[in-house]
Amino acid sequence: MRVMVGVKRVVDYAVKVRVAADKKAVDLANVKMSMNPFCEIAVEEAVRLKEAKKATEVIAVSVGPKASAETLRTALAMGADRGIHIMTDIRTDQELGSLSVAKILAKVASEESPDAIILGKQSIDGDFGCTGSMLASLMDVPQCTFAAKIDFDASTVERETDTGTEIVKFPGLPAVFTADLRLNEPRYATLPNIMKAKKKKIDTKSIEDLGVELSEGNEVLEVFEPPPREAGILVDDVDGLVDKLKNEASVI
Amino acid sequence: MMNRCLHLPRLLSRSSTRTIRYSNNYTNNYTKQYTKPHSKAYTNGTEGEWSPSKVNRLVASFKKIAASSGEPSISAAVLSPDLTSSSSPSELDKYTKCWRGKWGVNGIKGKGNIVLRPSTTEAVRRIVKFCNEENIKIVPQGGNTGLVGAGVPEGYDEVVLSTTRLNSEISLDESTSVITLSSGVILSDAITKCSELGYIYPVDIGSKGTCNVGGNISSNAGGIYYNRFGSIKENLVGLEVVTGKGDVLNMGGCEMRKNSAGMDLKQVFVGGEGAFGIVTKVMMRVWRKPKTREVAVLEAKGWSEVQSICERVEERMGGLVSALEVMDRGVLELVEEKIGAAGLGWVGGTGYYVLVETMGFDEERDRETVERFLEGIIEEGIVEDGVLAKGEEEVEAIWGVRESCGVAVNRAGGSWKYDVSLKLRDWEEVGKMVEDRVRGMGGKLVIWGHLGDRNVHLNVVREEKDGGEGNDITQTLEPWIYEEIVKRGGSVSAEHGIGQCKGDLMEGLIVGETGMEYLRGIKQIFDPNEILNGGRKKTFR
Repeated sequence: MRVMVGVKRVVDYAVKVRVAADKKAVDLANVKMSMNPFCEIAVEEAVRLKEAKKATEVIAVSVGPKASAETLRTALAMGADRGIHIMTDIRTDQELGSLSVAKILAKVASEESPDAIILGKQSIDGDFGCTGSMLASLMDVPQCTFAAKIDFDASTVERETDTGTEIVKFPGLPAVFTADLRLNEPRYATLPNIMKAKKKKIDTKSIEDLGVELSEGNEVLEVFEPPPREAGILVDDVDGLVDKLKNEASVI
Repeated sequence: MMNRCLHLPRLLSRSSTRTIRYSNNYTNNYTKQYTKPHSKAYTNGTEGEWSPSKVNRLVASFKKIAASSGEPSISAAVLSPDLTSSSSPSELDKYTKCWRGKWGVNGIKGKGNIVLRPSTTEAVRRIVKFCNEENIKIVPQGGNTGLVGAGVPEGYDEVVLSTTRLNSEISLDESTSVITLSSGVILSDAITKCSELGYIYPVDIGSKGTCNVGGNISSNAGGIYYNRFGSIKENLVGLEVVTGKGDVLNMGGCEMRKNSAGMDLKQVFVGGEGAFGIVTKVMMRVWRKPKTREVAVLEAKGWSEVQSICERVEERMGGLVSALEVMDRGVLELVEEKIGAAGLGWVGGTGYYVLVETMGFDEERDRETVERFLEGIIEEGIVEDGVLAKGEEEVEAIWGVRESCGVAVNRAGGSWKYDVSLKLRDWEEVGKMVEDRVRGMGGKLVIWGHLGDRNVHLNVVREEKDGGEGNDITQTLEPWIYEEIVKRGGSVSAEHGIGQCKGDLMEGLIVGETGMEYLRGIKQIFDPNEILNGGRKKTFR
């Protein structure tokens, strides 16, 4: 089995984002960027398949600017075998829509013909969560989204739902899977593997090279911060608290 | 997603404000045992519990002082036991007890009957004046997170003066890169304020969620950024202090970092542990916040590899390094056992783990420097394995582990802490000598600390505390260990201070007889009636 994983470079989850001066985007200047956490889970799952000798090759694919090569390098350091970088200067957090990304990935998949494609369930910048499903539709293969556990021998996926998990059977490969939080815990990149990753190959292509026609993305009207929370007050004693709860909040 | 990383620093601050209920009955038995002989000047220091009527009278006076200095909340400014009811003392415990359960008259808790929490310098001044008139001893205290009991009351007849409500001012002047803080500002609030404006506060320590910036000055705290941004002495721009006499001493007129106009009086208060005055305002130099951060953990088989890593880091990355820390396998096992395994995904081999953090301003170049460095030490065969954090989440998890070392050790049962600085080549030898001494008693040596500034936390742990003849680790190690460290040109207290812990070393090992004479002279000038930190007798004996 050959596995393809998608990895996206996004603003690090720990960074407090700021709105850019023109209010049309999040400010990316001098902001720490990292691999989308759900993509990390997808890479981990693929690498574990390889370690269990179920997968023969793991191919990491990223769509994004020049620096996305670094994100691919991280995937290679985690254990992916090679990388494909679809280079574009279109902002991937808001301008390049899910459908366009799905089209690009579908084209790459048609060239690489992987048996399984594992993506993150969503990226933490755009937060759309559509790419996996769109990709499966474009490829006309089964989709198993929000995966908490994938069993390739039994062709089943335990998937997260609003009320717990459900186990579904998929008809077979090829198929698209999207990784949820509980699927696994990604490993650290070890120094020997970081060194090895430097020697692994990354192919760089443009969207034009692929011959993909992009769909129109969303138009951003305005980006703004959520309203700030009002400051709390300190009460002097229990009586003061009871008084406020009774007379101001009317909750007791 | 956000929940995956366990926020260990938060656990840490919670544990340092924990409260333990105690009964008042067994204290007198222990008083004698733990009270050492002291000079005439301090005969009132620990003996003689105040009568309820005296406590009531003092509480009334302090409430009057609070009211006349415009305190918005008298009940918050003056905490006292309710002598007529059986109400729980837990609110007072936060200020009167040692979180380590180590210092205070009976070894479990401090004793102050009254806790004062003024919110203005004027209130502090009036309190000190009053205490001079009435001969009441004051124990100045910050967040009560200290490790040597410097802010824990020793006697019944001391009042605790906590800076925790002195927190109104927190302002950063970008034209001078200086932040002005009321002394009771919580360190993490200062750090956050700086961070929001694109700066970094030069002090960052494990107890940042609870400790006060004024307490940091008085204890001359170190921490993880000492290596990069320097000591408190180097970063201190100004101070406001209420002296033991009750004078407000403003040493912050010059707002500039560079200032050689005469003797630097404020430095006397750095590490002063409140013996000369109570810090009420702090002006510190802040640094531009770097834009990039890389954290790697390197596995070192033995101490000689740790030394080599340290040398290579300094030689090849120099000023880019913001922290250089070491932990041994033993302390990490304790973290795993006592705190939890979250964030420990990088622990594999044996020996030591060296944490290297860099901070810079150019992502591509810095990453390249770090990777070239890592490549180099792997090629040299110094390091075989280790990890490089992929993003901030892993950075936080790794630091979470590092910052929980102290707490994990405290939960081990008995722990004996030696916060020392030593030349690199001496660490292993002294460690071995300690191991040989405690092995027969079930003690285990664990080491972690600030490799970059050669400050190692040399700790012995075992399940039981000191117990009886032949089974007393303190007696086995002290004073031998201090003498050994001084002999090797090290410091017997690199970042924790003297407090109730090491006062008896001052004359013999630290400043000498003549030095003590001068220190006593300084004490006389600032605090002639010996009101402040009266309990710290040993220092000025």
